[in-house]
Amino acid sequence: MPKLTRQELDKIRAREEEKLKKRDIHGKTTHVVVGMGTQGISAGAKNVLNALSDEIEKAGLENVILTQTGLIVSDKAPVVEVFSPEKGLVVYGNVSVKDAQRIVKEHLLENKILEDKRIQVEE
Amino acid sequence: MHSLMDLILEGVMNSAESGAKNISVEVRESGNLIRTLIEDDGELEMSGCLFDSSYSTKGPMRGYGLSEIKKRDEKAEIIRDGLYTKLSFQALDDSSLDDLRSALLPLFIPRGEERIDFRYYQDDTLRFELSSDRLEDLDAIPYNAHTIANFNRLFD
Repeated sequence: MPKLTRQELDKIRAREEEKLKKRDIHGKTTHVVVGMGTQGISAGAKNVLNALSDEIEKAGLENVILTQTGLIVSDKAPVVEVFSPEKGLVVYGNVSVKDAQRIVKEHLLENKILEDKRIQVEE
Repeated sequence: MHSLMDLILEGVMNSAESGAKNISVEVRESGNLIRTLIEDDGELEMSGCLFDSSYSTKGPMRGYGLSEIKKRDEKAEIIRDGLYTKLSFQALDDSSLDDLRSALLPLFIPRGEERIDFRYYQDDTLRFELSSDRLEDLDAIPYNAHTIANFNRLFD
């Protein structure tokens, strides 16, 4: 199973906490970030980003913010990070368009982590 | 292989990661050729060959977008003109810009604080333009369900 190092995870957390503070989110509590570096783009991250935006709009998820960043984690693109107070930071790897649809349905709407797509943390 | 829109995203990502606050994207279609000019006010390190796939200013496993552009256009160039960096390249039209809504959504979904201006010309006639400033006025910077819906309505 793909893994993140503790250092990579801490870096993502720090970055997202900073962004959430800056955005003054007014109760918008969940942050979904798509890795759009070169590897991400090659692996289809653009389609994943579009799929997430479509599903977030369809579901009317006003409490979710969608953004993008350069690649943080290598070899697992497309990567999608979901950052919420309830579940903390969850990083998904090798995300397809279908997986993006599942992330919205299962993680964002049903509060269930997609364990089969999750990148675990190396301890 | 990267589509033409992927290459534009690479160029914009390169600008954003150089610290640019303002990024201008001009796409000019003439026949089946599309020429792109990306101009930004970020920092440009001119050391090394920026288009080289073995060279990156972003650290391991990152920052190879410009080499992808060079693969498609050997004549792609990047220059520093005063305070601005200008990246230009051209490629055959691969229809990746035909669905403008899908093409432009990734361009305007926020990544940092940068402002983006996009203009599309066909045979030297301006056919379409969109900017972060205009989107902000329309509450249509696409980052949540409401603003994404507003963004999509611009293309109805």
